[in-house]
Amino acid sequence: MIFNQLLINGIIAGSIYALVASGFTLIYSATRFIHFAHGAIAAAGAYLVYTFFVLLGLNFYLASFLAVLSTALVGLFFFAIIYRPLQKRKSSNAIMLIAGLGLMILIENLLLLIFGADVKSLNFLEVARGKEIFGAIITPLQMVIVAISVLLLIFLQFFVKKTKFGKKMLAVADNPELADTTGINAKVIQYAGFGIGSALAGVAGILIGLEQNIEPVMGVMLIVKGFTGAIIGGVTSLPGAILGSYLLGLSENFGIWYLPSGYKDAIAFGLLLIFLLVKPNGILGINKGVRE
Amino acid sequence: MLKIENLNAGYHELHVIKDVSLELKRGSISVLMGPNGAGKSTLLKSIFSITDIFSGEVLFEGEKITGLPAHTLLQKGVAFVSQGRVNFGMLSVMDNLMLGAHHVADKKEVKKRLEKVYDQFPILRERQKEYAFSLSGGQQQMLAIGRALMSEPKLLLMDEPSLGLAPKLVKELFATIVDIRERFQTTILIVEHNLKSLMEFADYGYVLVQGEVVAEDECRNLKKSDIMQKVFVGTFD
Repeated sequence: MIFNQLLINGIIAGSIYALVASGFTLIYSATRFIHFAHGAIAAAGAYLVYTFFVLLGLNFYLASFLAVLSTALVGLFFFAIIYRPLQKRKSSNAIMLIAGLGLMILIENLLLLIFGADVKSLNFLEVARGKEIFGAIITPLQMVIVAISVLLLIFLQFFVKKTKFGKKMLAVADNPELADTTGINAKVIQYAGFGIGSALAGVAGILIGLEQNIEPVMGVMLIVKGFTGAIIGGVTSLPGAILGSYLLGLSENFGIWYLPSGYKDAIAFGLLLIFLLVKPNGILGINKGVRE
Repeated sequence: MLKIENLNAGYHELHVIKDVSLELKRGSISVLMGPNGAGKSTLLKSIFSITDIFSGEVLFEGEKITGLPAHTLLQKGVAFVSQGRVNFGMLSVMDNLMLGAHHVADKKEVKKRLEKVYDQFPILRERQKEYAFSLSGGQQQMLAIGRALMSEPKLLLMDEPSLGLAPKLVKELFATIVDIRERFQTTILIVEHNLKSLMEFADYGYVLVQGEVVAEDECRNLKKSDIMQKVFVGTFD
């Protein structure tokens, strides 16, 4: 059943995009700038797990834990030395965006310098025969990817909506000036948002590293897809970013039912353009109206 | 309780507040008035350290609070209701209120304060689950004040709370403010344009013109003075 196979492929792709997009959205909500190097941070996460697992020979789960933790620290480090000083100078969004692009190129080249240009792979799980579910083939690894993504996304949603800290985050995202006069320390929230967002990027990096090859430029594709997912869903809304990412994964995969598979990226960009033109707020990014 | 000594403040190079000194009595309602651009809001923001302070001091209960970051002032007991009934529109009414007491760890205490605010503004209890942006203008103002009250402030600063409200609601609002002072045992400083109605409710008034205090007195005396005529008629504008 080709339909079921494409559905499953779409969900797998969407899960990865959703992890990238939700981290991206979290960072955007807390800091109000577009962190374009977010994909490169995910790439750093993949290389970090490669370092801990393959190069240092640690237990895979310990290596993953350390990789996620250090990805968060890498994100925080760059936030502190690049974005914060620019923010303090009240730099415009364009400057932040360019800084993000610069940072992305810097990280890519650092990875290239340290690890070389050849692709790396984790080879943690043996290539297993896929299981057949409703006529579609899915490997155990792919099931793990989807399960981890979904669990993390549910946990994240719970964290933001139900905990006091999450609500403070929403408040800063909603109205930073008011959050300030309400006595919410925006700086703490920004660091937390950046740290958690980067950790999510680290998870995404690891999951991709499990399925595909690791290469220095992999971050570009990730940020483009994560960004597109976030825009489609509504960039300030976490459920929106998740919904948008799955929608993107599904459209890409169902699109190649009719088109050659090389058009996958074209479908993603096409969707991005359509949404930017027709509904820039995204699906769940409500245009809030203040009643007078 | 609040003392401002020779304060000079503004934004970057712009010098707005010139050598202002004033002192608020505990439990009083004071009003800061003056023509447009006199620096009323800037003075209020200077107390809350959202402006640049060039010289002078702000003392709260004898403690120097000049230039302290806004988020530490709340813990000391100063709350700020900004202009234009600003709320976290995409959060529920209840979440908006809870954020006013986010620095209080004791859940029972927060619950108690929430009930107290709901008693003051029963409509907020009715609509506690709704988005803040769906409230009417008057209700949004109640929510903004309610959120400030959640911190049980010793000093409540309000920037033009009547802005954009219907005349009938303005009267109600001022009566509510007097009521709040009794119930919450707080000192209040209001920046207002709507002088006539507020003069009936407030204790003490300051007239600010071009960043300087040109007159101050108890409201009942101030009402009769010529300087108020000038403010009302707008000769200062």
